[in-house]
Amino acid sequence: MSYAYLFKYIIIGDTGVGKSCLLLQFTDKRFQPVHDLTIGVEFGARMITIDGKQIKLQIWDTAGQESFRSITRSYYRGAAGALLVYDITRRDTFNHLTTWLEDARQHSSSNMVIMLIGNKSDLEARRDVKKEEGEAFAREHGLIFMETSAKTAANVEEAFINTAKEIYQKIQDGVFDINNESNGIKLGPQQSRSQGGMNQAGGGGDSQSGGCC
Amino acid sequence: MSDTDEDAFASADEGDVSTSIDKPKPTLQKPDESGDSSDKLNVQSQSDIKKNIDQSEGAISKTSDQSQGKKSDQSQGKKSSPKSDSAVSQTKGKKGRNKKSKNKKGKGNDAIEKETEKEENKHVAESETKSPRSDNLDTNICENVESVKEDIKDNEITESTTDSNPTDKIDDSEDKTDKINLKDDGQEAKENISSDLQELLSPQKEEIPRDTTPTRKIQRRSVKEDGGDIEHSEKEENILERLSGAATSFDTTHTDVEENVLDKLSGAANAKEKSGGWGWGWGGSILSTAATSVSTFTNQLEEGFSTVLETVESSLGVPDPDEIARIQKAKNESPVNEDSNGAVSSTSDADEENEEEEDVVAKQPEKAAPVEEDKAAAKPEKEKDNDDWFGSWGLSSINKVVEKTVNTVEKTGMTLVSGSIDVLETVGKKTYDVVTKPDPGLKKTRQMLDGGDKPNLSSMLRQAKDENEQRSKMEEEDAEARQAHFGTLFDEYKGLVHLEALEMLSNQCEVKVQSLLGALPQDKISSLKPDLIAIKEAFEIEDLDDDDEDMDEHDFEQILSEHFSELHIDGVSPSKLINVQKNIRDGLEGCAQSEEEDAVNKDCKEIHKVGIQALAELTARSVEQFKKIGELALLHKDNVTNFTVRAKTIANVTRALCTEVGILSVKFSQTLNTAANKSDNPDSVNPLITNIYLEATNSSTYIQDAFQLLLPILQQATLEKE
Repeated sequence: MSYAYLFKYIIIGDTGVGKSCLLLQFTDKRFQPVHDLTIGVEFGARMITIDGKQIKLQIWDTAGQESFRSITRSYYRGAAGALLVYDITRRDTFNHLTTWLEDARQHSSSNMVIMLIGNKSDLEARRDVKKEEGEAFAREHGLIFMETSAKTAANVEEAFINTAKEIYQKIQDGVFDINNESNGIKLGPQQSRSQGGMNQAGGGGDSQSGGCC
Repeated sequence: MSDTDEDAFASADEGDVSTSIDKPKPTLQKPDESGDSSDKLNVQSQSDIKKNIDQSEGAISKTSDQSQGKKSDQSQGKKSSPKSDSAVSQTKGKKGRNKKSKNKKGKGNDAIEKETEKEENKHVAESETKSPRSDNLDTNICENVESVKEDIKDNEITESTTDSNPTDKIDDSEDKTDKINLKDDGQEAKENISSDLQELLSPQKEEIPRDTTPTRKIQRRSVKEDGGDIEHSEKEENILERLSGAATSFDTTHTDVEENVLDKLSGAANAKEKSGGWGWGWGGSILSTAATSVSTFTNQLEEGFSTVLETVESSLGVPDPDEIARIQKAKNESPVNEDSNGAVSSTSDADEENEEEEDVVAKQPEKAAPVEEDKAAAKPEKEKDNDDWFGSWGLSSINKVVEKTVNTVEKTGMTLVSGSIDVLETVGKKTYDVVTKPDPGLKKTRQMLDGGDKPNLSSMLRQAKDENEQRSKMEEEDAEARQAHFGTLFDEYKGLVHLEALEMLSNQCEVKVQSLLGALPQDKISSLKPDLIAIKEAFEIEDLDDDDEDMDEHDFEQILSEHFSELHIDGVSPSKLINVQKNIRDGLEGCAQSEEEDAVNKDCKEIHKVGIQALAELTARSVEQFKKIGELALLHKDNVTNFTVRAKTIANVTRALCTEVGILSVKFSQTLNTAANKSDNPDSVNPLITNIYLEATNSSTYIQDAFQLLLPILQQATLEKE
């Protein structure tokens, strides 16, 4: 699977808002009502096409538990996009958004595209946070807003893809430097391999050692 | 029919050759022929003839010089001759006519008349006309003579006489050049021609005239090739034929095939059988002259397009008037053969006379070539003159002549039109052929485009195609290579991401450790120092790559289970690793087994791929477990009393994992080797084996790197525990 770009996403938010379910819905198109607690970080990946270009989304699904906050915080770095998720049926998840947002802004690139997601939109009866509130919060903090349902898959694709489009647009506008991997954007193996030849094994070691430094 | 046709073709071809050959000789023959006729006719007196010749020559020259003038002259000449002729011809003419008509050259009337009456004027005129013309008409004459000969076949005596005659005739007539040569050559030529013509004509006779159309076509072609002269002769022949047709109509021997012209003629002939033969003969000659002149024009036209015409001539299926006339002629001929026993000599004479006439006709066109059109225009006038003049005399021949003239004009006009139409038709047909001709592979179109940028375009297309093929091939190879590429597979198993996350976590921990070390009071640090050193020592494991010493089989599941239980970290279980390792071993077993069962079932590449996949997956899971261990170690630091033990346990896990990787690499290499030994190219497996070992080294490197990344995490945990 060759791709032109690789975008790193992080999904953050209080525990139990449905971060892992959103990821599962997006990558596997399935819904799992009972999900194990995420330890540290889990990963998902999927290819999408924007403007005729293959883009690989590498999604870091972080643990929402407060105890993992210190650990997950270290994973923010180098993310091109962030999905900040709250549960529309639980106002406290919405109230914690500011903290999450501060964490994200503090530990990641300032250019990171953040999508505010009010999940569990299928549970309209139990809605605790109005959509307008979410929109207002997004407007206030310069976020993209969307209400989704990992269960019904409503707006799940759009949430991920719109974020990718935003990132892609920023690349086109020159906001992102694609050669600086701290922005969370990597060139696909095609481009890099064309330069590096067939020294893949060495390439793997290099990337690792480079990471160490 | 087909056979006969072919025969006709062959004979026709021969005939062509003969005619072409004859051409050069013509001078010789002409005199002969003319001599023949003149001999027979000339029994009268040479002096008279000479006089007549002079007169006729003058008339001819006049006609040639001035088209209109000609008409009047000719008509006059006709007038004078006809008078005497007519009477004679009436008496003796009938017999001769029949025979003559049978002989094809229909002019028989004239000949008969001449023979019997021996009229000087006519003969003179004919002889005159013959001699000057002879050059052009050689071939025609030859043909005519031959045909006559054929008819006369039965009576060879006449031939001999005719052959012998030439000399005398030549003497009599103007041509006084090389009499001897002419005689000898003429005789030979005659014989040759006669034989050739026999070949030509015999098939026609045998068949029904209409069936011989192909032959005629060929003849016509040859005529064209030979030049206008032959065509003239043909036209003359046609005219003669028509006349003969008229003659035959008297005898009721003519067939139904006769066309309108014939009908007209016959009608006229029936009305007045007593007509003076040579009168219309004159008219005929004039007409034929006009016809030939027109035909010359037509020929020129045609010759202009000769190249096109020749190529497509065969495709011109419509028979020309000439051909039609020939058909009629042939029909007329057949009866002749039957009837022509008695009048052999007369017919031969008549033929010769006819030839003479033809000569005249041919002459005139040459002279009047520039004035052709004028002639054509003048013809109607001629006709009128004829009508008036002959009408007063009440001679059927006049009417005939008139009708003939009309016909001739029509015919020539038709010829002209048809000639040009033929040209147009040819051009159109050629164009149509070119357009509609199936062009497989568009060769012609390509040829047309050859001059342009075709090679460039095609080469470009080929290049693009090659490039595309190459690219697709490369992509295919790429995909294939990626399937067996450790780095790619490691990434797909998310080993890289886990490693990256572990790195990030490790980096963060390292920073924290430094800050903690700086923040903690000195005594605290000194108390923790042994633990930190012990942990660090635990992580300084021997390089597991470069020695194959401990590659003995081990119980991976048991070892891992023990070690993980010693970790005392909730949420971390060796089950994932153990499952992966089990699957790998099963896969390896499958590879080996399938090898034993059927040798080439799993080729080396397949085994290599399985091996690389196993290594990548095992490595990825190992890194994932290390990452998890790190995260949980940070989370659950309170449960564990001694981090040194934990570090040592993790080190043991790392050793076990590396050992497993080594064992797998060896086993896969062995499997590859056995597979390679069974295959036809054992050496081809070497790079694959090398690759397995290389990737195994990479795998253990990743594992040890991940292991090392845990050090700051454990250090931080140790520090934070305090």
